[in-house]
Parts: sequence; structure tokens; C-alpha cells
Amino acid sequence: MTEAAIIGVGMHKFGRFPEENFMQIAVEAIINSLEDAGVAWRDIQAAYCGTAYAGSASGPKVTTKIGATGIPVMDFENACASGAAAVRAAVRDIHAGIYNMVLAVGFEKMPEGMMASPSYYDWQKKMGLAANPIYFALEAQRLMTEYGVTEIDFARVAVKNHGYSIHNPYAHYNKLFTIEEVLNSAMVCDPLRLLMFCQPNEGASALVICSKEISSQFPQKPVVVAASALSSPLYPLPVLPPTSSISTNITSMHITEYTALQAYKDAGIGPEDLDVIELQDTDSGSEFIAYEGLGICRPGDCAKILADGVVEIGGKYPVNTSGGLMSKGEPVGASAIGQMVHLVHQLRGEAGPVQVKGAKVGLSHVIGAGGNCAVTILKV
Amino acid sequence: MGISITKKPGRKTANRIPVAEGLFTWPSKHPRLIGTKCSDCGEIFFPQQRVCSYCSSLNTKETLFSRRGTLDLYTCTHYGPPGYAGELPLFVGFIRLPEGTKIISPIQKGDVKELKAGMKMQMVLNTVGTDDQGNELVSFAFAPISGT
Repeated sequence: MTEAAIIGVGMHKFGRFPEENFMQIAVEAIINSLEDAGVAWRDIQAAYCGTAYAGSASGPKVTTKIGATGIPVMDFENACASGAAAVRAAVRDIHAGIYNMVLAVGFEKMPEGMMASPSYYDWQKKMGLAANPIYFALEAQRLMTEYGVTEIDFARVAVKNHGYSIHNPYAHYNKLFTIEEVLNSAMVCDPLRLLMFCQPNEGASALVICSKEISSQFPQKPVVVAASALSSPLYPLPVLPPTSSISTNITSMHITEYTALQAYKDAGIGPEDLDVIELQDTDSGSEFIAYEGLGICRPGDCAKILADGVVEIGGKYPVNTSGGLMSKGEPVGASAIGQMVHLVHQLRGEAGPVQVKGAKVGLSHVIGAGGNCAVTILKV
Repeated sequence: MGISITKKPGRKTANRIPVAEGLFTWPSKHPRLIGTKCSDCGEIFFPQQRVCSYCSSLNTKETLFSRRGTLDLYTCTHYGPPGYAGELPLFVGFIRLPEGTKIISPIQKGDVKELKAGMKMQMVLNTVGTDDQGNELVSFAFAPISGT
């Protein structure tokens, strides 16, 4: 089985771009990735596209704006895991020897306001239950009740992630915030305030992936995709839309833990081998829950490892050195691949002020509506 | 001769209909939520569904939930949830039902000073706007049982 290596990365800044449509946004990221890889579009044998809101056949609409070469172009929609699902499919086709040069791209142009997810029932909308923040807030309440996590702890997550964003030109927001500013922001759903959430927005990210055997002939240091795990919800269904009932008889591990264990097994590593992590910080509570699911802290210690500096540059597990979703925003289809672009910069040693020294193993974690979870491990 | 009912001119009587079919028994003075129970493994689901999400059995049947439950975790929404035209802030939480599940429900706080996990709750009805024909849409919520 031949390994899959990322030899080119490209981004379109995340933010709001009223003058651009999703095709224009995606094309920029793809062009940048091809240039970074030193590869021409005509050499791409297949394209794997992640998007949740761009509509039917959106991948082919994008690729024909670059070159209508007739190659297979596939769309993947798994909510926040869409881009990772696209990468997973690309990697599997490389492993199987079906192709040796492909593109994975994620792109999104999201409507304003709270995510109006089509996965809510109409009656849930009318009853006021169709707000994603409700479900994150209930999980945050659980952290407070079970572990004694405080609103200051939630604010610290936002301060950490926004702190790194000032070094990321692709992030929507490049602004520092203090704990006081976070705690003074408007309350959305108790206990989570506006600055403890990421904002849906627009953007694109792309990877050129080839078989490891031919990767050394290209200008950049190849980054191997060592694992690409994807899961759908486990029973009992999690606290994520559009849940209406959750069994109190049956328990299961959190879908992040379930997916991470698969990824660690496939990559032949454990969490202790991770050097740099990009995880789903939709809100402060979600970041804490991901620490536990990924196995970088003991149950109950999530707030402690943040307070102790474990998840900052200089600590054992730097988390969200890109600024996270909180600073970048979350253009759903583009977010997983956006994480991987940042991880590739880290593993190549080109992350500048946020470089994690000697980073060799990176992890991308995304989780979306209903428990669609993906964990991707990259290695040099 | 039949009874003739005269309405005052211009007076309309709004129909009350459930916000969705099959969520709760209707018409009823004390409606109960309708769910599905798996005859093979005993797991319970709301709203109704055909196949068991735990064991994938097709041996499922309709079941009615208790009207009373216990408040679990809850939150309060201050911003407009998409598609919602009602009042804010809106309390929402998990209600643990004795059948072995917890459901997400709007909560009517009423006169209670502060909601507390563990409080005994009962199902109530409320109105969540009207449809295109002017029918009032009836939905459910849970409220603390007074005196507890």
C-alpha cells in the first residue's frame, strides 16, 4: 500500500466576501495549492470536495472554472466533517493505487446569523429548539456540574485561541481579547457568551495529495496522512442537533474518543506522540470536551490543563495555534482542510511566530451536527 | 328542528392544531407525548420512528410517555433561534422521563424563582404562533409542578 503525502496547500482567507461567490472563493484556494505544490491542474486525476451549503454538484461547478478536464469530481457532505471526509476518500484512493495525484478542497459561503440547519425538524424551529448554541450550552452546563468548570475557564479558551490569531493572515478575526472582554460579551445561551463561540462565515482551503513514492520530486517537504478516521453517531445519540431524546439506559464513549482511538491505531501512535493539535472549538465547552476525547487529559482535568499551560505553545499539547474556529470562523466545508493547511505549515517548520519547535506529528479533529466526527493524523 | 348556532358577525374562531402530527395525543385535555418503544431491546425514542436506533429491530410500537418528569441540565436562550417567533429569553432543558429517556423541551418557568436540576416537572401545552390559514399551532413544554 502506497502512502499518501500532502505536497501543496492553499487557502482563501476566512471571513465575509459579499463580492465573491463560492466558486471564486474555492478557485483561489485551489490555485494557491497547485502553485505551492508545483503541479498543474491537468495533472490532477480526481478531486474530492467538502461543502455543506453550496448545493448540488458544487465541486464540479468549481473545478470547471479551473479546467474542464472531465475528471471525477466528488462532493462530500458530513456537516463540520465534510472536508475531512473528502480528504479520507482521496487518501484511500491513493492507498489503493487508483490515482497518484489528486486534489482535496473544502469551501463554504454560509448564510448570516445562527446556523439555520436543514437537519432540524420544522416543529423544533417553531418551538425555539433549532439553535445550535442550545446544545453546546447544555454540554457546557454538564462541564460545570460534573467538573466544576467555571465561566472564567470558558473565557480562557477564547483568550488563548484569539491570542494566536494575530499571527494568522487567513483568520477572519485578528484581535486579542481579555478575559474581562469575553465575560462582558452578550450572553447567547447560559453559560456561553458571544465571544465563547465561533461565527459561521466563508472561505476555502485545498490540499494537493500524491502518492509518497513520487512526492520527493516536488518542491515542498511531503507531509504524510498517517490516519484518516471518520465516524457517524454512536448510540445513544449525542447532545447535538437534531436530537430530541437521549436514552438514559445506555451509555457509550464520546464520538471524539471513539474516532481518535481508530486514528491512533491506524497511525501507530498514542496521544502522547502528538506535537500540535487543531480541534473543533465551535465554543469553549467543545474545546474542553475534545481535550478529553483525544486523550490529552484525564476526565475532569480539561480546565486544569488549560490553566497549567499544557495546551499552549511551550506546553506538551499546543492546541489551535491557528487561532482555532473562534478566530478563523467556521465555513463548514472548509474548516477541516483549513486545520490541515495550518498543521502542514507547522510540520514543514514554516509556522513563524506560532511554530511548535520540532513538530513532527499533527492532529486535526472536527465534529459536526449529530456526531459526525473525523480525526486526521499528519506526520513528517 | 336542529339547533342553530349564530355567530356574532365578524367574529372568528381560531382552530388549534398541533405544531406537528404525531408528537402528542390530540385533541386531549392532558396530552401525552407519543414515542416509539423497541419490543426487542426496550429502548425508547421521541419522536416516533420506525426502526430501533439501538438494535435496528423492526419490532417497534407506539408508546405514550408519562406527563411528569425531572429537570436535568437546562440553559436559557437570549438570541433568536432560527424559525422561532416566540418570546425571549427562552428556557430549554432536558426532562428525564421515567420510561428511560430524556427529551429536549422548552421550559415554562412560571412563578418559580429559580429552576433547579432535580425539580419535578409536568407537561403543559403552549401556542407557538399561527400557520398560513390562521390556525393556532399548539406545542408542548414542561413546567415545574407547583408546590415542589
